Amino acid sequence: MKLYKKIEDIDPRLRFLICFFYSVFIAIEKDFFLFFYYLILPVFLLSFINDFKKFLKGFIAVNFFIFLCWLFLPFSIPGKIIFKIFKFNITYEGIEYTLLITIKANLIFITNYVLIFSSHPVRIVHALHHLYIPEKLVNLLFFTIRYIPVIENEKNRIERAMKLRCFKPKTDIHTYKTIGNFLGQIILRSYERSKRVYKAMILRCFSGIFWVYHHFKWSKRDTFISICAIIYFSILFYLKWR
Amino acid sequence: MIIKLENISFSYPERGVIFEDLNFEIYKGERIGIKGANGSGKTTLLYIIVGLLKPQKGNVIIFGKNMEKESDFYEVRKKIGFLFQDSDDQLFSPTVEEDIAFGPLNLRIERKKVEEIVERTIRELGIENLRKRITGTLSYGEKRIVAIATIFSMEPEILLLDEPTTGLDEDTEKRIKEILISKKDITLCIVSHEINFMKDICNKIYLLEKGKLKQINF
Repeated sequence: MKLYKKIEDIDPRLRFLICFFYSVFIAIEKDFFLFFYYLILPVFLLSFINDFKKFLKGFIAVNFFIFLCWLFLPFSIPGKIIFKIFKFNITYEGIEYTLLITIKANLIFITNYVLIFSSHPVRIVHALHHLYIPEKLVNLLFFTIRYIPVIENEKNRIERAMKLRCFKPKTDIHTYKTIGNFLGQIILRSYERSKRVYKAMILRCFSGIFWVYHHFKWSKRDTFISICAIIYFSILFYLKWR
Repeated sequence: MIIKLENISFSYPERGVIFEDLNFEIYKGERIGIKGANGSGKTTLLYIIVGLLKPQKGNVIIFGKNMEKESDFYEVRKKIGFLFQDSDDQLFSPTVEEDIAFGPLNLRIERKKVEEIVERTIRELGIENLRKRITGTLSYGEKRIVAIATIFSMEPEILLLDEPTTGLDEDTEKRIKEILISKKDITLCIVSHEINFMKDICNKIYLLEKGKLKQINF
């Protein structure tokens, strides 16, 4: 029997903390041997993914950037030369370094994807609030999440209007001007909207403090998960600094 | 009389004069509709009433008090519900429930009481199914209904509605109409260019033209 049916059942605060510590640990890790221990959490988390198609999409996007690293990094780090392609030397250190980036990025991606982005990010923003992260930062993050789709809608609307009047991007001054106007429009409209949103807040007697309506409920299972997480991180800590 | 605009003059730098010596009154229990062309100043009029815009000349008197400072308006905004043209402007909390609670929490109402208010508002508007939804993911019509809920939760005495039916389908429009008709004790001021919608709800309709308000028969 699974302890949790959905990843969302785990308290968002706990999810954020696990993710945060895991990412920090892995970011400073250089020992290839230890990555076997780091694999435990992502492998466990993989079983929680429902929508593999969506996951793969993100996975490919991340690895596309890493692919770019493979194109340049092995050539640009000095060290022991393994072989040559034309004038360019591929070094052992270069490959090691790029491999390290690949492993780290993928492991961090999997944990973040499952723990944070499988439920709506709003829940995590809420968790940040409860973790005493400065209110201004939390609100900034929250409003960004809330209004990105709105701005995207705005963008789609302008784009549609452009298409309907037969706009086709080319390499000419007209295209650059149009794209400039397009970006300008989005910034302007976002600014106008922010003013309206602020007005709406004032009309509902907003006076600078965002009151939190919901409080999270900590369950026994969360305590259990926290204990497991603490043990896991303690082992990693021991292995790293023994 | 609860709202009185006295000799209001207002102009935008880009759009020129909108009102000159405008007088307008709303009495308790009245249900007023204001019809006007685009750009005739309907929204501006509502903004002046709630203090989002300051007239260059004239007085805004609400509940018998002359509104001078921002703090005067803060007090009356507790009693005035304002529905925006675009509901995306109005819904900014993470979930529907929280958005409904936003106003009451700002008024420092006790948490237990806030929960009751949220509960009651949700029940009254029949939006139990939307309760946990994330506001950004609601449909256009749902957003409008939730926006109305966020206003009702503040238990306003006056409702100012800015184009409440723009872009809605017939069913949602009918639902909003029913909601507004059922709230008999609230004073209403609707601004719209859809006269048929206002006819069913309002007992007085004005035409706003060239900065003047003229009562029309319907």
